[in-house]
This record gives sequence, structure tokens and C-alpha cells, in this order.
Amino acid sequence: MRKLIILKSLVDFVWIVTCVPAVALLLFFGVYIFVNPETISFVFDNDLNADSSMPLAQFFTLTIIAMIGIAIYCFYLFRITLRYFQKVKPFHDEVIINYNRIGLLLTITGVLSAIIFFSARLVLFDEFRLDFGFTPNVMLICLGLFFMVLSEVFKVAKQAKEENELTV
Amino acid sequence: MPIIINLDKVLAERGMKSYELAEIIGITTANLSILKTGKAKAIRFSTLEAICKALDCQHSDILEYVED
Repeated sequence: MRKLIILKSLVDFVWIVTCVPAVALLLFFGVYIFVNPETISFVFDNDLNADSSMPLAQFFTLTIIAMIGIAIYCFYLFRITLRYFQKVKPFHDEVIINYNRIGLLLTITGVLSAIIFFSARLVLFDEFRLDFGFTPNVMLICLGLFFMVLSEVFKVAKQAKEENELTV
Repeated sequence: MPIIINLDKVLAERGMKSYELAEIIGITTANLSILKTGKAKAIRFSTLEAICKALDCQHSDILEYVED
């Protein structure tokens, strides 16, 4: 159980130090890109083309902010799930639902981010680039699918546990 | 479930209380209650054997199949 305590402490630390300020920063940045559109260059590595449409760049930036928000929400759900583990309730319905939700959101975020980054490069920088292999998007999709599989495994385990408890 | 548990009937015929049977066969009254109310998903052969021995009956006296 010491591993769980270390994990929970780490997750709590990251949540307080990174995620909580990140939510405020994302909200601020989401509004600020409309006040000062030049800040969009922070999001993309290189400068925007002169003929790039600013509303389009703002749209891509907002989408990226939304995806980061979803990732933070997934982290929050994971934090809640760890609480159930601490209460020694690993087969609680909420755990199974949370795992499935995290998986679904991460998979959607992974696919969306791949599409968004590809489109942004194509539209804003006239750059056709496809990344294959060990990319963060693929990792995100794998992680999402893993969480969904984990949810299914927990569902089966819960049924087995119930059956075992109801065996006289 | 199409399997009916007639443990109550057999217990009444033998004039035995649930807790007495639970004590004889070595299971908790809570588990015996699960069995009696039909909530049980499975029954071990050892438990069935102990019940039959304690109540001096056949398994068919306790378990009955009724089509839905």
C-alpha cells in the first residue's frame, strides 16, 4: 500500500502545483489571444505566415486549450479514482465509470490533437507533415485505450467478486 | 432464477432453526440467509453435502427446478 500512498501524494502534488494554476492560465490565455493575437506564436513553434488567417489561428489555439483542459479533467478523475483505492473500494462503480471516461476522453483528445496539429501546420504554415511512430498523440491514444481496457477488466473482476461473495 | 430453494420447507419439517443449521454445517447465518432467499449464485458441493447430512434429506428436497 506504500506505493499507493506515494502515487497519491505525487498526483496531489502535480494537481496542486500544475493543474490548478494551469486552469486559471488557460482561461486567461483563452481570452488574451483575442485581446493580443500576437501571443498565439507562443503556442506554435514558428511565426505565423503573413497571409495566415488570424481567426483560424485563434480557433486552433482555442481547440488546443480545450484539449489541455480535457487532459486536466482526466487527471482530476484519476485523482478521484485513487481516493477509492485508498478507501479499499477498488471495484466501486465510480472507479469503472471513471476509467472508461478517462479512456474515452484521452482517446478523443489524442485523435483530435493529431488532426488539429496536422491541420494547423497545413493551413497556418503551409507545411505538410505526418508524424508516425513514437509521437505524443499515439501515446495519448494508447493510454486512452489502455484505460478503457482497464475499465472492462475491472467490470469483469467486479462480477467475479460478486459471484464469489454469493457462493455459499 | 428457475432454481427454487426449499430450505425453509425442509427446515420447518425437521423443526430446526436457521441458526442451528448454520452452526451444524459451519457457515454464517448471513450466508444461509443468502441461500434461503435465492440470492446465491452458486453453492459448493461441500455445503450441499453438509446440508443434506444435517437435515437427513436428498439434494432434490432442497433444490427444485421450475421452468420460467
